[in-house]
Amino acid sequence: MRRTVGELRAELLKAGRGAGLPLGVAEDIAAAAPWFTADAVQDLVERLDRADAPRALAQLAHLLDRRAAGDRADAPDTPLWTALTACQDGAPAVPGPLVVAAPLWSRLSAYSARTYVPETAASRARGAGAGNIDND
Amino acid sequence: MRLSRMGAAFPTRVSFLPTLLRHLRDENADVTRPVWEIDENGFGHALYSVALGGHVYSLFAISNDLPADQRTDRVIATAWDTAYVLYDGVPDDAEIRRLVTQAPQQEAGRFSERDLVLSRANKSVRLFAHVVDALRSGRQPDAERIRDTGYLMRTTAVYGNGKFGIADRAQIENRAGLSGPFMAEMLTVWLIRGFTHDLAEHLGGAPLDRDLKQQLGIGNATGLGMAPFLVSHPLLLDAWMRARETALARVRATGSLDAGLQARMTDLTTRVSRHLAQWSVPDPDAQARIVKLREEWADFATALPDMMTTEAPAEALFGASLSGSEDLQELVVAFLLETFGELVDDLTAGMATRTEPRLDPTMDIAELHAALEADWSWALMINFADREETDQFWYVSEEKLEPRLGLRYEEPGAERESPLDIARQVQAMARDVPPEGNLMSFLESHPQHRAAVRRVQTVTRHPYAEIRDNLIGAGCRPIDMLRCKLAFFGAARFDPKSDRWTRITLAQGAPLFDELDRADDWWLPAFGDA
Repeated sequence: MRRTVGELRAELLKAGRGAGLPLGVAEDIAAAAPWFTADAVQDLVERLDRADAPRALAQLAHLLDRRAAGDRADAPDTPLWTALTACQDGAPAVPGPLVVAAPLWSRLSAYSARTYVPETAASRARGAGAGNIDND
Repeated sequence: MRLSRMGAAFPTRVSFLPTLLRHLRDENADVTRPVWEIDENGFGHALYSVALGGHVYSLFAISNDLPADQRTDRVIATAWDTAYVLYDGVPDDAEIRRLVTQAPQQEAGRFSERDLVLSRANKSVRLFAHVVDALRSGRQPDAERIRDTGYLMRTTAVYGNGKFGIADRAQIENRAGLSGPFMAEMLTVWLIRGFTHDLAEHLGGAPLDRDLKQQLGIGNATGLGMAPFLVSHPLLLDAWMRARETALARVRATGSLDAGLQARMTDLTTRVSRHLAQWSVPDPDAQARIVKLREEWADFATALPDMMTTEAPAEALFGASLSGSEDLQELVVAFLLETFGELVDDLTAGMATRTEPRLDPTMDIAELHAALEADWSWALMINFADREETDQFWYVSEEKLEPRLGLRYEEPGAERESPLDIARQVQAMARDVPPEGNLMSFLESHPQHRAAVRRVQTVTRHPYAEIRDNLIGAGCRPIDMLRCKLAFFGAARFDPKSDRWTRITLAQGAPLFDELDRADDWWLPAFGDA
């Protein structure tokens, strides 16, 4: 299915958080959304599936920092790294549309879902703040 | 920038809807209505087209029969009186058939990159019926009722930027007229307003008087969904505030006023008095603030003639406002910007941003400490051991994927809270960061502080990027964030229904499709005889 950059960016941030990544690392990945290919989504999801995902992706962010500081060694050449470095370089975005197969998108969304809070009757009534006076 | 001040915001010259209408005026934009397939009951679809910056945009509008028991402004609704898509170009028959099917589904539909904005609106049932009934019986509707409600329909969401498959903002961000923030959304809302007029006239079988039509803007009901935006878009917030603050600085630096500007100020002062007199809301606290503001404005108006003839009247007026309430201060800022439109209008060109906040890993830790000291003392002094300071938590609801606010110590879900606790994050980072050393090494060993370091660094370059208040404290009122953002849209007549949702009116008094020549002068309108 075609996915917009806006949808991908929002999903990347939530999925990263849901997978337990440090917020700043999830932000870095989300910021690279315009440079993501479907392969980069696949690459990310496979990394999120690993038990050491938070530590490993934080280490990837550290490599990005070293790159920003002028150290170009240690760069693993993968679709995710390509997206992250293109973002860092301000390269032209990947021309659309981005098509992500439904099963892969579902795997990503499953991590996002870990950030959602199930509603209760009380939270529905109170959390959104609407009263009973909204239909005149 | 504190919540209470944000919660006192008024629309200004640099707000988005007035900016859009000035663009449309500059281009002599002509709105046409190539399709009107609406039946005698008011159901069917219509199309409005307008050229702007070398592109044609069309509003697709569809009106359906909505059972009364399904009519709700809440985002949890699944059906609406009317639904809309702002389309890139003019949809052909096949595209119209697609929109007829998809638009009414809103979030449950799937859209294409030709669809720029998605929206829906419900009738203000009582006023809509009154207007139609009056027209049908050969009368004009009651002017006071029109003025007091201010709209025939309320939008309950206006989606842009890639949501549900619609075009990403990148598709339009370089287009003249739509490059500013929320311009496509504002175009949608202004066109919807025209459709609501046409629909009422169609059902009533007679035209509405022009002066009544002008008073019918478009309503909006806004809840928590909008609040996190200002936190998740720090560069945008900075750009908006910077435009406003730069405008204010320019105006404060002006010297004596010529007769024309003095007359302009006097006229605007009178208009503001009348606008405030015509703005009343049911909420007692909000109404008390309006009443106080009316009194303060009356004093301001009394002092105006003497101050206007001083050497630096703008600065004098701004200074005089500082002894009043924040409501008065914000109103005076908006008033000064309105008076000096020619001096500030160009600033609207710098209110969109294209980048995300960047982390600079090469920053010296001493610099980080300096930044914390300079910009974050408000956050560092909050006692987060006090439960009052962590009383609330933001989260996204599983059912509607919409932001909500919960009570941390009474409701489940806090372990999944959204990261709007900026002050707490920065404080935690400040606790762990060593007095000196290498930031990159610190971030490698403390990746949990990466986001907070980025926010602190961002404020060094973007001073208005941060709301300087504890957004998880018991005292946080989301409505303050909503009002700030809505005022930047150009909304007025804030009508809060709780501390977390509000009704507003957009485009009340704004030019009709054939009145763009007065796009310069409709700020805080007043209606009827003076």
